[in-house]
Amino acid sequence: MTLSHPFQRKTLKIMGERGSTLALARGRLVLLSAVFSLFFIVITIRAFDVMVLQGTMKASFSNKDEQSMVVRDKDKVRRSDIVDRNGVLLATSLRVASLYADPKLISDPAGSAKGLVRIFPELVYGEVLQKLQSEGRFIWVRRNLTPDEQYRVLEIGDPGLSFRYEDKRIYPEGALTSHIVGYTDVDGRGLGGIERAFNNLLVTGEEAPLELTLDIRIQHILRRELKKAVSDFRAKGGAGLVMDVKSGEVLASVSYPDFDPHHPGHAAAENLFNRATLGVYELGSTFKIFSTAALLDLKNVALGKKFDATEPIKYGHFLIRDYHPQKRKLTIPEVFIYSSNIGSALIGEMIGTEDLKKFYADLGLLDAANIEIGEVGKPIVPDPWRDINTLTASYGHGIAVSPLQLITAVSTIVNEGYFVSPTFIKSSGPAESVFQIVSPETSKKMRGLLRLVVTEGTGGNADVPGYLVGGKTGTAEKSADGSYDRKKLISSFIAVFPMDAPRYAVFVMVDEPKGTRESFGYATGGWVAAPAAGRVIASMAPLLGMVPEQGPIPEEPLKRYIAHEEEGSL
Amino acid sequence: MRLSTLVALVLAIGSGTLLFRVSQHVQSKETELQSIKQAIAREEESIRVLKAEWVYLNQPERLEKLADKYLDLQSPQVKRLKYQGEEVPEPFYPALPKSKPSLTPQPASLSVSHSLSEASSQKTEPVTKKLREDINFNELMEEKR
Repeated sequence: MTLSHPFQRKTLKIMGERGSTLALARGRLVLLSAVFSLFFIVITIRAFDVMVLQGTMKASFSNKDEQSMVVRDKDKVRRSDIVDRNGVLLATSLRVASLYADPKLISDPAGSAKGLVRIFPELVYGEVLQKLQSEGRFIWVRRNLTPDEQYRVLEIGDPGLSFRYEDKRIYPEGALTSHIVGYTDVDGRGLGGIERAFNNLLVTGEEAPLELTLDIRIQHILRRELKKAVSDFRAKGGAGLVMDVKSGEVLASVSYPDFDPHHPGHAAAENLFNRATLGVYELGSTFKIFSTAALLDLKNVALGKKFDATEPIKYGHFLIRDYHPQKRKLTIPEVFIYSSNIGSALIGEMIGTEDLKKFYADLGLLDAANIEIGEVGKPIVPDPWRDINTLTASYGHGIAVSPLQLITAVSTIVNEGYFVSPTFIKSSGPAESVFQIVSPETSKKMRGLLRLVVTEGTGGNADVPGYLVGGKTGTAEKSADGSYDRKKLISSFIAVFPMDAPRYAVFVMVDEPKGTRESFGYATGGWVAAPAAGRVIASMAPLLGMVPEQGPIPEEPLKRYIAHEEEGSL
Repeated sequence: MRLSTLVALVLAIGSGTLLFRVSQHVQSKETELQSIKQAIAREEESIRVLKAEWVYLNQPERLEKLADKYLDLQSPQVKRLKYQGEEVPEPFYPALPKSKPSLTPQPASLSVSHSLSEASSQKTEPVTKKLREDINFNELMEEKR
């Protein structure tokens, strides 16, 4: 026997009959301990399973809803926000809960139905109960709950009531920016305005929000005054725009009536229609700005040159008349401030068809406006353009453009003649224009003329002391079935201020206003749109920190061209 | 040789236990991380909701209505704007004492009439102030809801 192994030392080998008995006992012991070991291993595995594997499972199970929120975050990007120029949220996507029921798990259908009806008064108890008792595993109870509603549903505490999370587009400013920002369908696809035009960008889920040029405060002021003008004059609707004349940034764009962008389907087609950019209208006398600018820029004429406005012009079966007849020869400033159609027609005749057409084209009046959103109206231009069209187009008849085109073209005229292109998207650098449409001298003369309209002419109601408001009234009859209806007017006013160094242009247009006692029965641009434009300027200018001041008076040198009533006709 | 086997056995059991503990620890940390991530997502979501609600509650139209109802403030009017310091009239504080309160408190009405007369002599139009008590706070709360 060797002593090599420590255990072997104690090993006794007993041979013989007793030996076999011991071997048997040992065999039994081995078997027994093997069985015990097996049990222990099974128990250990089971303990591991219960403690570790099922432990984590349980923790995640209780947070199933939240986990589904996190998971949604990863596999589906959230549509980007849209903000105004000051960072005020205009459109955002929120994860909202939708309530569904699993009828198989509902423990107390009657009690739960009662609780649900208490939270959502518009649900009917019978219908809800029927839903909760129906067969199947999934039934919608209500989509898009507010967080408060969700909390109250959780308070019912029925295991059969669960939530699914969906993205919903929210427009916190409601109808205020509905036409520009636009709206989406339930699946988050943009269907209107910026939402549609920038759909491809917004769906990438860019973290930084899309910044618009709108200023929500000015947007509100414009909408408030437009709404007031529309209701005061019992009009069908209206449109308004505020533009930075240097950069072409649109600070406010309103079309009234408007709609709730959360439920565009409930809105009438008329409310969805964007009058400010999509609608094209014959805007009347505001076009005299362009014909007069063309004359001053293209033909070397003195402001004192007179046009005979004594008699209406007959041209074929057309008759061109004045609204405010002076029945005498008028200088250019007089034609402008008294808004003489006869004088403007003569101006148009002097410019000539080709030159006027080219001038209008340069101002962007003959093609659809180039702006980011899709709702852009194509102007209605006479085709073929005959000489009579030149005469009427010079005072804004027979040519229909969108309000956006008009305010852009006016901005170009007053902005030292540099071409202004309109935009809704805030860009980092200042927009620089290199195209000169009219000369700086013409621009200066036009600014004086526009100011003169407010101090001496038809636009007096738009004046705001200290801000040197200039502008031009426009009153046009709406055409229906080829003839004009004298009762249906489009009354508008384009204002620019301050006239010594123009910064902002304001356009207000009212569709089919009716005269009131306060306006002495008039429904013209000077009585309907000019006061509204004046109120917009009075509200927005202090807001933008503009100081009212008495600077150089731009219209002063032009005053000598105006004959006053008491002096008689010159 | 036999001893080393024993040592190896002890080491194996020891490292196994350690490994088990570490993996347990990692798993529990992962669970914790998951729940923190969920909490962050939940907070971010509620921040978004609150931001939207803030803008909703600050709609210019609504603020204008509330200001009309509860404040005696108006939007600035051009003719009221003054740009020279001396053009601005003395501020008018009806209820505040002019100097540091003395030990014997003066009746508030005294200081009111004093500054009122002062204000009228300067030909400014004092804005009639509704007292704070006039504001119906219940109504205000209802509006908020």
